[in-house]
Amino acid sequence: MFESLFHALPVALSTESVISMLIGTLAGILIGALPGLNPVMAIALMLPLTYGLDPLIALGLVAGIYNGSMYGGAIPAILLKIPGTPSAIATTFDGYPMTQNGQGGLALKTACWSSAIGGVFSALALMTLAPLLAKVTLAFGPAEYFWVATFGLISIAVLVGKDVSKGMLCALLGVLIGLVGVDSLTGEERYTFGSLYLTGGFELLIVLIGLYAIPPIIEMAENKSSSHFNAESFKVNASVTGVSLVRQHWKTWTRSSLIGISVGILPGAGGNLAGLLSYNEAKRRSPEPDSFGTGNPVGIAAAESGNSADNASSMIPSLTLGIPGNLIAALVLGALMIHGLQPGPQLFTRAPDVVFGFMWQMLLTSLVLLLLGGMVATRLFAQVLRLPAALLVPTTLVLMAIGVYTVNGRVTDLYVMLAFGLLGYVLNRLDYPLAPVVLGILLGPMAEQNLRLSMLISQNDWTILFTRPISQGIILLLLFVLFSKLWKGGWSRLIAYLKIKNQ
Amino acid sequence: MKTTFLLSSIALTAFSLSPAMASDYPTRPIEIIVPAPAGGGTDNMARMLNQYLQDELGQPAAVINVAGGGGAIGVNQLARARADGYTLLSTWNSPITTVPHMQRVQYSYETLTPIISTSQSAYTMCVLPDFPADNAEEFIAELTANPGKYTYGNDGVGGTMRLAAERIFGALEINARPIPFGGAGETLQNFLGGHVDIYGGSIPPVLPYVEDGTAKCLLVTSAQDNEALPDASGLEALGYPELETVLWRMLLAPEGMDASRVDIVADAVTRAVENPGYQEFLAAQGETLNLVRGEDLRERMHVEFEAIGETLENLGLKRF
Amino acid sequence: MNFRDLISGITFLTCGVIATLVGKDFYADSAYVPMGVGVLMCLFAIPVIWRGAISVIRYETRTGLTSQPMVIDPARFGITLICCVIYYIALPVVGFYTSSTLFICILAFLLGERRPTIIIFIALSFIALLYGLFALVLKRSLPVEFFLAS
Repeated sequence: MFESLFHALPVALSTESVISMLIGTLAGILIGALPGLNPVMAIALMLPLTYGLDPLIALGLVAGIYNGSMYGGAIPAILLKIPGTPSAIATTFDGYPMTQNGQGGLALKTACWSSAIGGVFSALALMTLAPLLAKVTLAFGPAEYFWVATFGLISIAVLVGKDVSKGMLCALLGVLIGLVGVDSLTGEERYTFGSLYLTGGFELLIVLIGLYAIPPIIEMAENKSSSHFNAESFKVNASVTGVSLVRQHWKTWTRSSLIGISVGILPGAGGNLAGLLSYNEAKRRSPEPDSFGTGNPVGIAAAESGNSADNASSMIPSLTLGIPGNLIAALVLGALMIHGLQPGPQLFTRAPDVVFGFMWQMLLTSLVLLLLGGMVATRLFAQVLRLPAALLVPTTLVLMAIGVYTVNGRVTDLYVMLAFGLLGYVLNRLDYPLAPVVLGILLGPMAEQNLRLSMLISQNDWTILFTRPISQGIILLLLFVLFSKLWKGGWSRLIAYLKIKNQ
Repeated sequence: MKTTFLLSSIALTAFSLSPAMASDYPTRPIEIIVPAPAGGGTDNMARMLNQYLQDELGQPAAVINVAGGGGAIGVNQLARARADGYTLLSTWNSPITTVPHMQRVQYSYETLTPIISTSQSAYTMCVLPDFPADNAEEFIAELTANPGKYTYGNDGVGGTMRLAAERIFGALEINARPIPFGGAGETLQNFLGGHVDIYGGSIPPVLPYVEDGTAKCLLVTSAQDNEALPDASGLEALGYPELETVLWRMLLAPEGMDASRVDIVADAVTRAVENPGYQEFLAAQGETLNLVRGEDLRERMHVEFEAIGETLENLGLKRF
Repeated sequence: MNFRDLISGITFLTCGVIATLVGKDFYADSAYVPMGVGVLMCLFAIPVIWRGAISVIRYETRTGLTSQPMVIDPARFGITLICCVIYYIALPVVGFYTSSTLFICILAFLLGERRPTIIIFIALSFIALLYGLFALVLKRSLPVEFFLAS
């Protein structure tokens, strides 16, 4: 296997492949950075242009767009508090405060390096451990998926905000939004209230653009003269080099990359879960958890390396098993099929240059980020902030409209986006965290379906949820996270109580 | 009578409005709605055909994936679109002939404009090597002997795979438990991981596993055997050719599309499928060409719609 | 200010009650999770209401970020929303590129940008960029311009 791996390196370094990777990464950064446009759409639109060409050109573009967009999403998250892609939600938590504190340049640089490192770790896992990790994917049945979804949902609802009940309320609200539509197991319409639009349910992407991108835009429109642009803030102190970042963040990067890789091999979850879980873990481990959310670069390092580490590893089930883990993986499989390569276990022996070449491309495009990332971010996007808010607001709104419209080609989706925007605005003002809502929409239906599937398989025997070793492991992990939160919360409350008593 | 009148009046209006209709279509890009997610089987077939179709039409055709509701969302959207020939639908049969029995939808096979059907393939049922059966007869005997023991993964409640299986199981008085997954990929994952006993779904995803011996495919839901799966029997070999349920694909348009434009598209498809690249792709997917046009296509939809309605009624699944 | 938690808590409680009541009529096992979510929502709404009520009774004023008013500038807030809605209504009728150009110009003007050359320059170059990307490179069709519709 390693022989074929090294044999594929020169193929991945051929001129055409390198050019496609460069174009892909650049396009990916731009697409990721523009709220409304997303990598799935971009890849779906670009692949048909490459059907006549060598498969590695198509795959180089995919690898570039995928990795590039993961970092691109962080740029508006840091500059404007708008996550450019769903995965960049956790990046807004500390990225935007850093821009406000005049550390935008440092935030962008940290994001760039973190994305690259996460991507490299993930690509290495794909190259060396793919067949092994694919077995892990298969070991997860509906009962295990139920626990994965529950773990993600509860741990983030409980940890992300300051107030547990508010976090849980938001997660539950997300689950309710996710339940709207036709139930896939019985065909029953739920919470559609007779509306035909609602039978299809809410598209996660549209809800997400609404919830996350509209509120900051409205706030920008409301504040007449709040330009954060400050040329000084994008000059990074010369003492901050790659080496110093590595020294500062290597622990966070390793941990977050492991989280991202684990999330990636499970079809269904995705980069946003990876980013949020990594962020939480970094915050939990930190000696000063209260500094998170006020502009701590470790938060960016965790979120960005976590979500980028999801990328290459999400290709593991699709390349080794022929089972796409997410929409991008499905598009890669589709592209391979159109090039006459049947996905499945034989792919490694039948087209080793393509498969291993693609793995190298996933690795190399992560490194290309270091080359292009900083330049695109500061030379181009930071300059956008020079625009007066009065112009930035309408142009961003048009961009979001085009992005949402191209998802399904429906105008109704635009009103839905706006409505969720208002919901997000109100929740922000009332101090409710938004991240659990998004995860609720994503993971709620996943938890429900897998719960009911396991009940169908076991013929309503509830013990199936608790008897299998992987499930037990996840339950223990969930209990551990909950108890550590309760312990810390209880402790600090006790201290506060004693202080008041003494006064 | 009524239809002829309607058609001729439509033709007349179209003629009077713009005399050179036939020659000035298409003049701008065409949108093809695929009611399934990007990267799936339906999507790949549509994109592959599309590649050759746009050459024949002389205009770019963009595939738009509108997934959800078992395909109903995409077809609903098409039904609301303008019937000017610039919005077409590339779909498989289930959203047209199955889903309307189970969900409220805004369309019917009676109103959509049928253009042409393209290809068809069967569903298959596969088991892992340790399953105590090596051919269709033993498979059926094992299932009959153990009612309620085995689970089979399928593509969801409104999916045609489930109906294909239920028709066969109903006739043979087999009781196997359906587990509705989100699609063939998910079914395959749970089948390979041993979480369900039987894979039920389309042929391409499971083919690599038949080749390397990790799966035994014992049954296909078409009357004929399938070349790609030599160990599987068709329903004719088992003596039940009438239980055939296949997966087939077609191109449709909104109600009232101009007949001359329908012909332009249908002719273009007929020429496009001749392309060796497309034919090779079909063969690799275990699909066969099947070109049925115009009202014959409507009749085909009608027959299947009624048959599936009956099956669903017997299963207690029919809602509308 | 004190009422915020109280009112939002009550809203969530109502939401939970409605979700449970609607959910209990769903068919067989498709009802369990919706009802469970509804009930949990009610349960978690109670502490929020409780704290809200206590702070209302004690006339506490809250500090920090939430001391901002609900809407900072109602006029600009309203203008942005109304422009969006008009834009979405116009989009399918007038066509994507025309309505977007007008939307950018009008909203920029209403939000206080008074340099016409800058508005027009930004609007046109931005739309040209989108046209190049979506119409020329990606060949993605958007709502057709009213003057081109067949």
